Amino acid sequence: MTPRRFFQRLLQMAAALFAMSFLMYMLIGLMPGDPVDLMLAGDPHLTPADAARLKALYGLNQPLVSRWAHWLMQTLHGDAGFSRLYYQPVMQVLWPRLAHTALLMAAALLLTLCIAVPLGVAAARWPRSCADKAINVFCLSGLSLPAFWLALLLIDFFVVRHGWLPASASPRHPLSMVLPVVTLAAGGIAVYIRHLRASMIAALGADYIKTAAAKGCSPARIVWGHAFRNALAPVVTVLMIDLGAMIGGTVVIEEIFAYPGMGKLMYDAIMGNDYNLAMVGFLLLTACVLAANLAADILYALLDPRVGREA
Amino acid sequence: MKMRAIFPLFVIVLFSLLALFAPEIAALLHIHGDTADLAARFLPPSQKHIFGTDELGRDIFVRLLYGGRVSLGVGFTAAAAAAFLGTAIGLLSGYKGGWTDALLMRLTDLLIALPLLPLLVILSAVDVKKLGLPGGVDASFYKIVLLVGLTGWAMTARLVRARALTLREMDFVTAARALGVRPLRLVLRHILPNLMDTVRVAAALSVGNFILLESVLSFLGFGIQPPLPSWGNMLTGAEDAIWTHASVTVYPGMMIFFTVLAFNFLADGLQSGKRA
Repeated sequence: MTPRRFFQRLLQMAAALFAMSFLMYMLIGLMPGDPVDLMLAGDPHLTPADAARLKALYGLNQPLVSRWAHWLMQTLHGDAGFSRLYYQPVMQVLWPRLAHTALLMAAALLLTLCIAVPLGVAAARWPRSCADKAINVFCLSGLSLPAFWLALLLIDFFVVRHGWLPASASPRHPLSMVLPVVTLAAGGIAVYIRHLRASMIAALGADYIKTAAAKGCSPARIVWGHAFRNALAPVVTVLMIDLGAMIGGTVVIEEIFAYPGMGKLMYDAIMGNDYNLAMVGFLLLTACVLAANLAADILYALLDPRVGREA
Repeated sequence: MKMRAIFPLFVIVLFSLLALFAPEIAALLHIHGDTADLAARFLPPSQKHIFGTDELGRDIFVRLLYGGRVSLGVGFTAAAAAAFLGTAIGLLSGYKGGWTDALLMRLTDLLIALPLLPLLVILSAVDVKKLGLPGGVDASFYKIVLLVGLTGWAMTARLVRARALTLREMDFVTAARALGVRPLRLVLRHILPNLMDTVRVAAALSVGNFILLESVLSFLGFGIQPPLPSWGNMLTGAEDAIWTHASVTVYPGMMIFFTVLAFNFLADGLQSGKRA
């Protein structure tokens, strides 16, 4: 990737985040209950005149666009506002949660790859075989399984019936992470298997595979040394694009297992009418995903030098 | 159509009919789906309640039928909206090319990359009454259809655009253009019919995905609001009930699983039918 292209991508990222922040801010105007409304509901002595004065004091009577401009300037200066739910600056709430979610996702991704790589390669090595068909059925089932239902079934079996594992997860107790990691990984395995299979079949059909076979390479070396390396590049792209879906999965999984990460935070923020926290959290997640996409493109160019040159 | 698509189609039609005739079936069983009876909570399956009763003493089977109306309804309606939007955007992008294409595809890429579930959770907090839409029991249904349909067209648009790009260069399109066919007619009469197979596969996948999305959102409490049942929100209470009565979690999840599985198999069958 040329430096010029890299900066172009960075600029696109910034533009996307800018537009998203505007859209999100406008949406807040459509949500029920601003802070003063909540105060009004909580304090019977507050008169409508007090409420109007408070709204003027906090700038809630100004048009949304100017409030957004003000918010943007503040955020760019490093102050993303205050969380009403946690009585802390928003970024102070977000950073530890982001680290927890990253830990959960890294573990789930590792498990996903450990299962998806052998199965995807096997399906591609023997296409249309019984194994391939069984793997396809496994994939379709995995894609159809609601993650929260799987979580409930796992809790029923491992926690309620046998008491082998705790039901609530915390990054401090490795054992408690088992169920959330397994549930989160279950959603991605099918996606990876299908993409890996397709790109492995394409790679195994290439001429250099015939060359390798002709010069007497062992089948294992052909599959892993020649085909797999070349099949990996497209999979890296999928990996990063799928990140958004995986983050989505954390919302429900963290909520069920009470894991203190970004997903649970988004849930609590919306439930508790803390829209600023929800908005900044979402923008942070979006920034992470976009950065990961950019990283994937750079990695792609490294894995497959042909891509880098033409761009 | 290949044989592989027939069986999933049969399952889908069966579930749809069960959902469609939910009131009639409930009347035949002399059960009212919404009536709570706390004295009859968590009853095991019996002749009257074939799947037992839930945490408020409501018949699970009848609620599954009514929930099917909502879950399948959201799936079908939102998928129709997404298929329409996605096809329109994909055609426009693939046929026009240039700036239009670049802009629309950037938007599509962004939509695909975004963490969808957190986005939907935030969007679901929007008060529909502030948009001037009617509130009420059915409001959550329309809100979900709108949200899922508006955010779910990206995959269809991508696939349609790719097909439109190749079709645009085909000889019959050049011939039609040489005969003086107008662009709109060219796209709608000559290109669109040739990529309907792609749209069908994408729509089948969308219905399944949207049913999953609806169930997750409703489970979390951001989607379909009770007392309106959906397969997702029937599991909301299960999170607590699981400690004492795990059986209530089984049936709604199975309905979601088998329905989505049927749609995924349908899409798979349609696709392999094309390849063979």
